[in-house]
Amino acid sequence: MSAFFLRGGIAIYAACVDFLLKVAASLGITYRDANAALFFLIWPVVTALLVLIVLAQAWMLHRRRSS
Amino acid sequence: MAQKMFFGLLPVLLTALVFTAVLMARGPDGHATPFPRRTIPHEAFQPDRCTWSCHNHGCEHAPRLPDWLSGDAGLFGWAVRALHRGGSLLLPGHPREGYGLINLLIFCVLWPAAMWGLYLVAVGQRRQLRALRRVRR
Repeated sequence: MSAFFLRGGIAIYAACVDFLLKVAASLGITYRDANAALFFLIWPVVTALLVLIVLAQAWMLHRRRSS
Repeated sequence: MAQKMFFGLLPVLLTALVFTAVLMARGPDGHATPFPRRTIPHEAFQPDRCTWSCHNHGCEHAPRLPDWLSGDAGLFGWAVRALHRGGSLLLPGHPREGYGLINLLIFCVLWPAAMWGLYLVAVGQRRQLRALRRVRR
């Protein structure tokens, strides 16, 4: 069972690194840059936008229901 | 119902599609990426592009992004050190496996799940707002 998870974990982890290496090569940036851009720029911005949308829509729903 | 499911699963499907397309595309060596890999690969350093050598031994190429973001003293270096510490705590005695596991947990499970959850909440709210607008008319 643990060997199954270890093999699966290695396969997914390696695929993620392969993905970042390929993105980096195709954009002409480094592996570090691809990592940093995805996890410290793109994902935080997407997460923050989603939080803002959810909060704004919750406020709109509250207003519409209470009016 | 089918439309609801489609919009709910859309970000997951699109992410899987882009991920698979990138892996299947021919790389600078002219080959698609082997999948699934059974071990962490060992590749030689290439001066013109990053390879697994940059992952395994640290990247020696000049970064394009500012140092505060992708440098050793920046967010990237801080995150790698934190993940190594977290990995050692998660699997004491197996720091490399622990590092991989905590990476997978944070970047393949928890954070994507949080983003997907927020997306589903946002889609549900949008539906409720539309229904309320229809009722008002």
